[in-house]
Amino acid sequence: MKLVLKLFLKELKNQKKLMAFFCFNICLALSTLLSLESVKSGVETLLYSKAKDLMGADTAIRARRKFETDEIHKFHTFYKNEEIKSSEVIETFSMIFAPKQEMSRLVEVKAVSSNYPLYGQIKLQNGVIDAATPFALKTSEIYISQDLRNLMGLEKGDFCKIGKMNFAVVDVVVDDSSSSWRGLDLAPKLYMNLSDLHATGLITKGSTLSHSLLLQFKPEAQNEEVYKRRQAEFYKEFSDNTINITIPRDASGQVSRVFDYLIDFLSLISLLALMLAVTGISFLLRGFINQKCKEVAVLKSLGFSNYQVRCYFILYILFLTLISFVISYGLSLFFLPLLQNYLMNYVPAIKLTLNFIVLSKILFIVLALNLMANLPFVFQLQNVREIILLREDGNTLSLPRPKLSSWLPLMFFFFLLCIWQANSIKIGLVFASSFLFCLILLWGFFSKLLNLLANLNVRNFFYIFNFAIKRMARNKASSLTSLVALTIGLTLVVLITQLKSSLYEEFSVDNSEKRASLFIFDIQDEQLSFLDKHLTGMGHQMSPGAALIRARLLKINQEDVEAAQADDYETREAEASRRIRNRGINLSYRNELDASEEIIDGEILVPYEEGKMPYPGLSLEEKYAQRMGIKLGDILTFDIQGVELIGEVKNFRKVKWTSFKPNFFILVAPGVLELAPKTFIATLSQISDDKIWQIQNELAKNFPNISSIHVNHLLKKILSLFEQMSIGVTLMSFCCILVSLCVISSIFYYQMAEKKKDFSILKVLGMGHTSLKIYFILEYLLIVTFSSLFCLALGNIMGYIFLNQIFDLAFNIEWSQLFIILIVIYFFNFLISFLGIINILRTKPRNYLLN
Amino acid sequence: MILEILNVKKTYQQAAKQIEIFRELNFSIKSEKNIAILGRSGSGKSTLLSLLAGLDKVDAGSIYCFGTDLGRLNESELSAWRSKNLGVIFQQYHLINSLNALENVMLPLEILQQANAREKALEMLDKVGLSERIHHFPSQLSGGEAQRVAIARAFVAEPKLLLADEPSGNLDVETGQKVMQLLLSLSQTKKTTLILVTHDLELAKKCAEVYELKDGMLKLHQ
Ligand SMILES: Nc1ncnc2c1ncn2[C@@H]1O[C@H](COP(=O)(O)OP(=O)(O)OP(=O)(O)O)[C@@H](O)[C@H]1O
Ligand SMILES: [Mg+2]
Repeated sequence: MKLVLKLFLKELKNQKKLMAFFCFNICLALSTLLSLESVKSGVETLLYSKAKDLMGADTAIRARRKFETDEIHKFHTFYKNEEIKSSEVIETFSMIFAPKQEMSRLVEVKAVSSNYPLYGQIKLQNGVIDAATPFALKTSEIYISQDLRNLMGLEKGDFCKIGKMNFAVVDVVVDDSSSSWRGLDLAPKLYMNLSDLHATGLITKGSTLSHSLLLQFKPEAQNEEVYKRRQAEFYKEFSDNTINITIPRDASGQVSRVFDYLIDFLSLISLLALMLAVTGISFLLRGFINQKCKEVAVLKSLGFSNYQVRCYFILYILFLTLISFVISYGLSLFFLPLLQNYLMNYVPAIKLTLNFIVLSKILFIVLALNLMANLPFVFQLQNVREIILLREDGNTLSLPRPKLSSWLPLMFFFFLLCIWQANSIKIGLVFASSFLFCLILLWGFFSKLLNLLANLNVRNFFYIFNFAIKRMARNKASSLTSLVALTIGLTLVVLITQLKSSLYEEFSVDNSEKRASLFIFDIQDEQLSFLDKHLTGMGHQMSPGAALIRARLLKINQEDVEAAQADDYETREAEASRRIRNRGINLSYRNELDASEEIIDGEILVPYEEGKMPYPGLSLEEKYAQRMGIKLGDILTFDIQGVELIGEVKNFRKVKWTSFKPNFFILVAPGVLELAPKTFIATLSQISDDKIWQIQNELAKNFPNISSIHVNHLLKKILSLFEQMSIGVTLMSFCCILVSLCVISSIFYYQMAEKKKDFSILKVLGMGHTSLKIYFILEYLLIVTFSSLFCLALGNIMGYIFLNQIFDLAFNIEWSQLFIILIVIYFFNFLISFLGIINILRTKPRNYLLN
Repeated sequence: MILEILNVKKTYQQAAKQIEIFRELNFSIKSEKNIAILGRSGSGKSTLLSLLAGLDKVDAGSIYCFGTDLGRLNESELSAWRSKNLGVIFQQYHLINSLNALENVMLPLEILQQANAREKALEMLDKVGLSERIHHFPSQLSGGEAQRVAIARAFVAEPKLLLADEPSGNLDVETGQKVMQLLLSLSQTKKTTLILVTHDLELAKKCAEVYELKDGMLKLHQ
């Protein structure tokens, strides 16, 4: 072993080139992964340490309806051993009307009782509000958020109307610890007194709101264990599944959900980049091991065992990986401050660091990947016999090709990694198998293509072209690696471009004709006909009001649906299904389906006639049914404000949610719910954006309790958020391309010696410089061309499958963007090969050829 | 006049010091014949060949080849000149690895854009006795076979001047002799002037004239 180490150290000096290429290949991918992990852990720590400030309590009891007084009393009794202080919050949507500005907008009203906030703080322009100096708003006073001020031009001292009441703006909230995430709200926020909210008349039966009771625990009860135990006990005691108990850990999860999805996705792409880099490295190491065949034979003839030979090469892999890891670490230290500056626009308190756990995690991953990718070559060395020394030219003898199955552990490991990074078995599997599928497909296809080209002889063709094709086809290992790496990188970019453009198309304002323009909600039963008349009077045709009945799902086939508590570790799917279970549900009924929905399985609902059929029919949205595990024919039991409703699932519907038409997870057959307490939702369509603002003003004046959403305005907000998030994805996909460019350029440069020799020979044979340039560039451009053609096909097919088959969205090809991307790629490749060729052209053939 | 070397000076910069290979080299070949050049290692034999092939420039003086002053040709004219007039054979064969034997031999003709490259190359390979090996790649050929392919490649475009730098240096004695035999007989039939660089006096003696390169001068060997 000592001998192996000595040999290794001696040889290392001669392998600077290998070291450089190794690092060049992997460092970009690795430092990206490191940066991402640091963002991930940064956000987690931030949210975890700020979790209490975020939710503003040790435990929050919350429902999407108003709690009754005796209910609240019961909660207090339940928590009487822990509680020392409490506060109530109701959040709801309303229109705010500013007379001075002659303007009305949808706002999120946060009405708080005394003692608010229990934790955290709210910075105002003049002063700070926290637990020591809680809210002291007088009647008819509000604090508005900065967003609202910007939106409506409201200033301190201005008046405005909310519901039936007039308010004065007394201050502006500059920073609010309960919303650490900027830009994710549906509407700008304002604060008012809880007692005022009741006086506005906004809260009527069935209004859209969320009611929370925030509790502060005694110091000795302030720990995770108590939170969790009491949460579980609460769920047992109160079987009402519309009530949710949030504890600090859950709160951080909720806030970061969107971000988590994004980061998980980015991590997946960076894994892919890492895989590409590992592919490149495999190529380099294979070349290296190949070179060493003869040396290995010599060592073996001197009595080296296979085991020692293996150790020697494993030492190499470990060392190179470690070196590149250190360099990547250095690189990411350089990236992190930049990233932090950028992220602080969204999460001001974020701190990016690389802790020991993250570092060792990534080091483990990259070591494992490199070992699994290259050990198959190392193990082939045992087939190198000393006998090759007796042949004339041991150098030309190459390593036998390893069996494909020897890469199975690598593939398996990659699957595990993907699942782990995605926090989802489904997404991880889909991602990993798509990658694998592409890899196998591309490998097979390009391998066939190269075989074909190797023996192709086009007569009357420019001989340089023939020559370049042959060269590419016959240097199979390097061409294949280059082709596959580049194509996978490009395919990803094409795919992401396509997904992006299709999503844009879906949400774009141009597409608004198919959508509702104004979405009106919280319309009271008795207001519906007035509203309709009023709008007709203004010359607008309102859609028929869709009834909305609040209910609670009690049983599926006689089995109780219980509120679920979060497990310590849960996948995305488990989390989603838990969330949906813990929620009250809105029911509706309609005689005819809307244009935005269609039945995909089962029979249409017929009006219920008592006595003729056992139960009224139900129609469920397919994804909802899937997540709840409900099948056709299942019997569901609901509670509608104390009255039980039993229905049978008759069909599944597919709903186009992006239409912004009133749609529901569950529809009940007509003839059942007509008399139940309900509110209505309605929409206006095909109205210009400016006109919508006017209509909103008009509605706010005449129907103060009714709220409405300016759909296009909201979509613009979503789009800009989407755009910001997609910056990350786009950058990441370009990082992938960069990695694949690194791979192919390092292959190109690694073969420099061979290229220089060929150059010298061709020059002696009388080939002109122009032809030589064309020849070397051509070989490279051929690879790029084949990759481009194939990535276009593959990226588009995959985009189509994802969008059309999985997400039900129209697929839209963005040729111009693709074109630009390809031009850029060509340019880069041209540059790389050109720089290489300048290097080649400087070669003195005399030094290469003559002794 | 086939070749005329007039007052050629050539020096190399090695680290700080300058080494002078030729100070004032004069030499000429008037009619077509085979010439051998002997010399100790480091005496400048390969340097001389590289100057003759136009791969390197003289510091002073001039080289006329078939009446052309090589020093006056630019890079692309030199390439064209080489493709028409020159063949070179190396000690390490130097075949293009990604091309098979036939394609290697076809290469000079393709560079000249001659029409029946394939037929001529096949004929040439037949002459060197490799009709059976035309689809083999350099890595699949033995040393002797590879050198024969290199010879075929050097002769296929029928150059008037052939430079050979120790063509048998990498081969065992017997194979080396066979290869030399082939080289000499081909240069005879193709009426090519061969300039052969070698260490081996026995081989050299098979040429019409034997010179020795010593102290930067070419002198007839006794
Ligand atoms: N590119 C170069 N730069 C500097 N010095 C060089 C260069 N090429 C050759 N030399 C030097 O020029 C001298 C002559 O070299 P050359 O290769 O011509 O010798 P040679 O006669 O061919 O020797 P051998 O029989 O070993 O092949 C040597 O001392 C060599 O070190
Ligand atoms: Mg020499």
